Amino acid sequence: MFARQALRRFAQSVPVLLFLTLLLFWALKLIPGDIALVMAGERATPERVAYIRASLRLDDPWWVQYGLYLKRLVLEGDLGHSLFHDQAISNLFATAIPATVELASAALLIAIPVGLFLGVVSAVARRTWWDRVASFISLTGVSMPIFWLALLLMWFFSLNLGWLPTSGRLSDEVVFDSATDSLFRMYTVDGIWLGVTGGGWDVFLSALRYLTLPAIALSTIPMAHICRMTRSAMLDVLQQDYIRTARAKGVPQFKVVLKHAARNAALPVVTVLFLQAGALFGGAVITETMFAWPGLGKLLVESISSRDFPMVQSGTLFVGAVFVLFNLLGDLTVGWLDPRTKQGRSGGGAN
Amino acid sequence: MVMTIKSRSLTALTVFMLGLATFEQPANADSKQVLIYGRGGDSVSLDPAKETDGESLNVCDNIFDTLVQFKDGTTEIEPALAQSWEVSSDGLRYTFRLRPNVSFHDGTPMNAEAVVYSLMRQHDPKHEAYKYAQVWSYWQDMGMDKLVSAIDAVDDKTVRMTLRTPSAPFLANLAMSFASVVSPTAVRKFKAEFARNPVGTGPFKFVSWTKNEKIVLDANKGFWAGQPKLARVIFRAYPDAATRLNAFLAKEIHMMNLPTPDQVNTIRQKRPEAKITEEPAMNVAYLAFNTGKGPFSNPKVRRALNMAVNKEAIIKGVYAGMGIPAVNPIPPSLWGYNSSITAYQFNQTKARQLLAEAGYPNGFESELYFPPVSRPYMPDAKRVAEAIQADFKSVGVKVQLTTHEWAVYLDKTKKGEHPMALLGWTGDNGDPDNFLSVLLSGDNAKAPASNIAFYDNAKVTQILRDAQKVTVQKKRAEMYKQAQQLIHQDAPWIPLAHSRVAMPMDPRVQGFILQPNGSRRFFKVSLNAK
Repeated sequence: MFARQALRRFAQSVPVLLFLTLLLFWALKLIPGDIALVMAGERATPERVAYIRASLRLDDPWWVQYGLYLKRLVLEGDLGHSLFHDQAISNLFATAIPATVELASAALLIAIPVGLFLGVVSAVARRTWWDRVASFISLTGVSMPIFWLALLLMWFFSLNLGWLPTSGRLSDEVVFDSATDSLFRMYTVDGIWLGVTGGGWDVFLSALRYLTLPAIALSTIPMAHICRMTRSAMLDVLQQDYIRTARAKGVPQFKVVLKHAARNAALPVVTVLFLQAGALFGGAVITETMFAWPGLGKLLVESISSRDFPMVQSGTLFVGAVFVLFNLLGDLTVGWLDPRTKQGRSGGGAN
Repeated sequence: MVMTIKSRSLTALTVFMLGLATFEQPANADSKQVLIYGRGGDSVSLDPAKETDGESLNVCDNIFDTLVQFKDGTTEIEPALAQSWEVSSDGLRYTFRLRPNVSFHDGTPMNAEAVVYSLMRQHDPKHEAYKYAQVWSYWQDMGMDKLVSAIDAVDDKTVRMTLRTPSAPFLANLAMSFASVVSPTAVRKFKAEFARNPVGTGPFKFVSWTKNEKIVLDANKGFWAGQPKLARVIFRAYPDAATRLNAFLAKEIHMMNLPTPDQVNTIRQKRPEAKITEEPAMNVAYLAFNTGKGPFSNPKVRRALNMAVNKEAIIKGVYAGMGIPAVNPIPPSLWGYNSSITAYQFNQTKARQLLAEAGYPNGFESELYFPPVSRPYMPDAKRVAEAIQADFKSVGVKVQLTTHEWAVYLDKTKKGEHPMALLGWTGDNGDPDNFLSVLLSGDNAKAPASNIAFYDNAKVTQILRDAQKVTVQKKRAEMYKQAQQLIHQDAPWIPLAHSRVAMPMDPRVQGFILQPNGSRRFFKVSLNAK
């Protein structure tokens, strides 16, 4: 039942995604400057630019270029060839996506518990000192520029305290060649695997040290959103009659909050949570750049400024698909948490 | 209750952080002879004939050798894989005798066949390896495709190259990275993927590459010029300049490539024990007048504006002293530099007079384009543009500042949409032709132009054309000096500055020399014991 629902929703999003690539392709053709110029830089003599354009087949009409791209994608499942990097896009994705997944997961592991905790605390202890602190943290979280926070974290934890490395993914001291020894391309996972299979835990610990600061930086925005949504949802629920009834019956405070209120407040929070996750797994340009984390976000932004069409196309497709997927997961989870929507669906109604 | 949860989690967090911290001290890049070099970006690929960007070529230069090379710290040519060479009297035939007993990192011999293969793959569209690159950039760019008519192996250790016309810069071109000798066996094996599995004869051999993270090279113990002192060099990419600075201050890297002038000052304060070497770079930053547009078609106006700009102040303020004011389009370190030319004196009263003579007693309004990116020749183009804007204003010329995304910027300036534009150039082969012809010859003044002043003086163009065909350097130097004199009078540019390049290094790093062409050589580098 769920599976069919999921499949249908996903199939519906395919034309949307394809339309998105077409729109982007067209938009990129509208802005001036092309990859031949970017590649040649100051050295772009007319012959050189003409030669590069011819070599990359940029002189074909745009619909021919787009058609070729689409044909390979649909018929061969080929994501295409990056013009700028001159290599298969699937190869570039193979390292960038795991890096992004690792960082995004770590950020969520921080954002979700901290965000929920702060949200619940500030709702329960409304208009107290606790509430103000939590609101302050969440407001700072949304409004503080990440690059500044990143520099602050480096300054404090790396330069002043010397506890954690500034940036990168793994120490050069560890005997582990990330290019050849990494099975998962996520070094914390590789590290756990090595530890479990008796290879020692130093790779895991090193990877964890490098992951900590970027994960904290990246977690601030989703954490703030989760916190604010939790607070308002909880406040809403806590004013309901049944909560007063529960309290009147003498149910202890923590039981009222965690058992009676939390489940009802969870619905909007879950929706926000999946939206945030979808955004995170699409890559985080600034965090990746600041912490020299070779993820997807930076790859895609670079491909736009270098006018690397196939890369922009496939990147957009991927990010779009991830977003659709997380939206879907969010809806399914809400359905599962809320018996009312479940009934509504089995009754044939729309949600 | 809430309180206890909070303080408990705080305690847990502190314990976690402390635990991480005590496990190992921040990666002190120290063990043995492993040098970590921090730079602004990853390499695009490691095929020296394909790429033109510094981050690619800096790695390639340590993996590959060329027939001839630039002597350390200079632009003079010295033997490398070729022990000696002869040039025929008509200047058309070059015969190279190769160094014996040199092997590639894969064990195959470096011989005449390998040299021919390395160059012909870029030259001959029918060559089996020609298709492995989308673009053989520099071969085309340096005009080798038009210049070279044949490259032959005379015997196992002798290569002959035949040219269509005599070319003075030819030998210097062969010292550039694109002319590196690659292992034909490896190219046949890896095909296009050779660009990610490079095999050369150089002092270091390729070990591994994790995209956008690091490239690892190990010493080639059988290197023909001796064994490198370093056991390993790691090139790490730090796309953000502030992060790169932090990594250097935290002692995570031994060397920090391309710091901004401000960062050099920060390093002097916060890590005073760091060594900082500085070298004048082979480059020029300039303001080009679009000589085909409005008031700028009048040389008097251009000369007047040359007098209006306080270059010393720009170098002090924006370059933080890391540069010298430019007089000519080529840097003074280059042979053929005309030192008898005196710069237009900074004199705004005289500038106003000249403008009045030219028919602009009340000045005029115009637009100045500035690049959106930091380049080695101009660390902060916006601030340079603002300084010039202020200088021009005091002589009555009101300038609006404009910028575009880098690709768009190059496009628009090449098409001549700008009235005035800031740009620069970094020399490739230490030959004045590589500056003057590219940037100021009438042959390159048609859109899309590399001569973005669209300066077209028939006499200058002819001198530059002739100088390419003379092989006696002394005579060429005279010709370039004459061209500089003419250019100075016509003033199609305001030559602004030649920047200096700084390399902050850990005090343990020994034997590193900055090269004028921007190459980074690690062959003679070592790390002192702590």
